[in-house]
Amino acid sequence: MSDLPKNLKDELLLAIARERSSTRTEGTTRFSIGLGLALVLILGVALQHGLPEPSPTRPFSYLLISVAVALTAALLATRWTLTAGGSSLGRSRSFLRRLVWLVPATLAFGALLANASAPETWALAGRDWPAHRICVLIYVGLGCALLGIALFGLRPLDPIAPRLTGAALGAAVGAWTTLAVSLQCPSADPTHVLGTHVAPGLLLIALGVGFGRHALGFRYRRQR
Amino acid sequence: MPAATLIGCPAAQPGLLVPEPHWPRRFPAPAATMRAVQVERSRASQAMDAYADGDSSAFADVYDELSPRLYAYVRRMTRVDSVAQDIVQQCFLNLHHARSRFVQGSHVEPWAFAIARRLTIDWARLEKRSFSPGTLDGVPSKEHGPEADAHQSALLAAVRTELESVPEKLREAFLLVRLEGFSTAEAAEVLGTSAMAVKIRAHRAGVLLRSRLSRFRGKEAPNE
Repeated sequence: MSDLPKNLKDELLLAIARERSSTRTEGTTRFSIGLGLALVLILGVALQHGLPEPSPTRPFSYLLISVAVALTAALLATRWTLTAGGSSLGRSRSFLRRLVWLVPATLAFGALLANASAPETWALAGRDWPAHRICVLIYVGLGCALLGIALFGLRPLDPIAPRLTGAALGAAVGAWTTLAVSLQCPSADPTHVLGTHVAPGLLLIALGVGFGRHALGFRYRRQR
Repeated sequence: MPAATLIGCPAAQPGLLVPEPHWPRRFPAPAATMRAVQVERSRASQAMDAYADGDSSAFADVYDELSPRLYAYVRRMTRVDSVAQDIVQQCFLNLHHARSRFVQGSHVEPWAFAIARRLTIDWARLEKRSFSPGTLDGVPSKEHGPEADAHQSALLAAVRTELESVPEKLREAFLLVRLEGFSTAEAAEVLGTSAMAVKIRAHRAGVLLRSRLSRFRGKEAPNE
């Protein structure tokens, strides 16, 4: 087996002098800008009708529980997905796998718990069909925008399981989108909430898997 | 403060706390029984930290420390010098582009090897070749004298042959732990699996090899 040719180091040093890359500080700044942009989008959607207020069809207990659960799930999922856990290779695969199914399950549980805290909301089931289309459109639009910011801003990230990391990002983005859409939607119809505020999160997870390898992975480029 | 030996933690931070040896393992250790362990980091990891913080001259140190090991590792998998050189060059370019992602205080080796492994898998897919975790090509044998050398050569040739027939997952773990010198935790990071799985796979590969090489038992090399 031959040794590495000596000119390889010189070629490499020339290449990295030509191709700029962000230092840690610059990377943190870029990350903060991306995070700020995402927060603006989330708040813009969540508060488009003003601050949410309790109503006969959406009591205070329902609002409190649904927002608290969604916000907690979103914060924890974001933290656990975006922080490396002490290694440049990120969280373990088993950890990310648990995160991917736990987040949507928690959101669904939170929605049902909120309905359980206000039994009068069960009577609304199946009544808000016209609102389904609007909420789905808002969810998919906001979710795709947030996921795009995450995938573009974080690349490349994971040399081992970029699809799984993409799925975890999709789950975290889904939690934030659920929170925003739930805040702006006046409906507490359990079928509407589960069908249009929670279930589309699975689409974001699937998109994360689909785009994860290309956006977050390290890829070999064939030399011409 | 004298450096303690590496305890196999994949992302050891300076001042890592571990229980005193006398503390019974089945009980969680209170703070009073914890002692700070100064964990040794490689020069490559320290240089990568400096490079991530913006010290451009540190990249040459990262290259000097890592390139021989990376090249040997990739060369064993690809078996083609030019391809191995290309993959090593792309690996270092990826380290440059992703330097803001390097977690401060972590080890660069698992990260670099995971990137190199991913690039090699990608290359194998593009060239439609089967990915082989590698052989013992290029591993020098000890020299003791003509008879001992002949014995070592025969043993090494036999190990190479038998290693080829060991299942891929077992072989990969065995090579990373026994040949590349990674701890089980670090090898687990590179492979994206658990430390227990790596330990079991490396052990099983060793048992398989020992049983297949039993004809060499009792025939110690002369002058050893």
